[in-house]
Amino acid sequence: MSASTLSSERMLKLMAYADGELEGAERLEVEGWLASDVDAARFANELAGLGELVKMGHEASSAASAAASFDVADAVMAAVKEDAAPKVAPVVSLAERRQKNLKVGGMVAAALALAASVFVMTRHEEEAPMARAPAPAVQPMASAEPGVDVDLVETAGDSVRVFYLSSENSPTTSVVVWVDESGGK
Amino acid sequence: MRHAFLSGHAVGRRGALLGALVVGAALIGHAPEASADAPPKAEVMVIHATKCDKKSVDPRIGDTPPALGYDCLKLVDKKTLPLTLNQASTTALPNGRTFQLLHTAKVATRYKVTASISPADGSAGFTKLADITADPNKPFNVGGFSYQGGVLVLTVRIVP
Repeated sequence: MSASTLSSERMLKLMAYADGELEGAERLEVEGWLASDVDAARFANELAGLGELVKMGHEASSAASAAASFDVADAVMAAVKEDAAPKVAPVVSLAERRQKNLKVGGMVAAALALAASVFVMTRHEEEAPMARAPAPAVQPMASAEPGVDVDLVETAGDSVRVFYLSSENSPTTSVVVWVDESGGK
Repeated sequence: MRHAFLSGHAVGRRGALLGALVVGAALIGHAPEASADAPPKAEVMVIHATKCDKKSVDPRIGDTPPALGYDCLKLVDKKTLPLTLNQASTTALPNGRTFQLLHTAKVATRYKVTASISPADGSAGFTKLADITADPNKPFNVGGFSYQGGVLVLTVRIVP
């Protein structure tokens, strides 16, 4: 910069001119310097370039701050607007809804029935050998319909068991309520 | 001619229907009367079952009951117990104990009874063994009561 050849007073006036602060005689005076003095014109150009840079920097800073403020404020406002806005539920046919509920209920009932039947079957398979606990030299037989149903009384204890056995001279199954009194009277 | 045939045909059908109604009413009215007058009874065969080398079955027993490994079966006693609803019916056994049947219900044609036995130590009361629902004339067996080196097996048949 050739500002060193300019007086400080002239530099201040050139700066004020660059900023648009001079009017009247002072403005004419400075414009006279710019037309006649190369150093003054160069200094003014440099000031103008600097001014442009400052202006560009200011604009960039404004845009950045605007973006920053948008990120926060706009997001908050958008969220507030979304919450405040009335939400309209989709209209669903009552018949369709009932049909759907019936289908779901039917599937649940079917699943429960299947689970129950599996439970009963597995439980029956587990209990069957206990109810027909083996006795010496006798094979239980459950295929034939005995015509007799037996429910053991709980108070009878573990010594009482029920056997479904094949008779030697009869095709049907015989039912035996057996009381194990080994060592008794 | 056609009218007379139709008329006679209609009368024939009407008569057959009336006859069926009369017969049906007679049968329906007769059945409850018979069951009401004659309460069921339990025929009890008391069998002594023992383990033996040579298998033998008392011919009076008839259909051989399964005796769970006891090959020698001898009929000791044969008794009949009346099965009045909700009234216990008992019979003494050779081993000093008492066998009891309680008729608790009749479900359709089936009889529901509760079988009990008195304690082995001779004390009072009965020990319930099982609730049994049996078809008429269909035997079931209650056994295992210790007696003279073997066991007693009771073959019970409920007779309407």
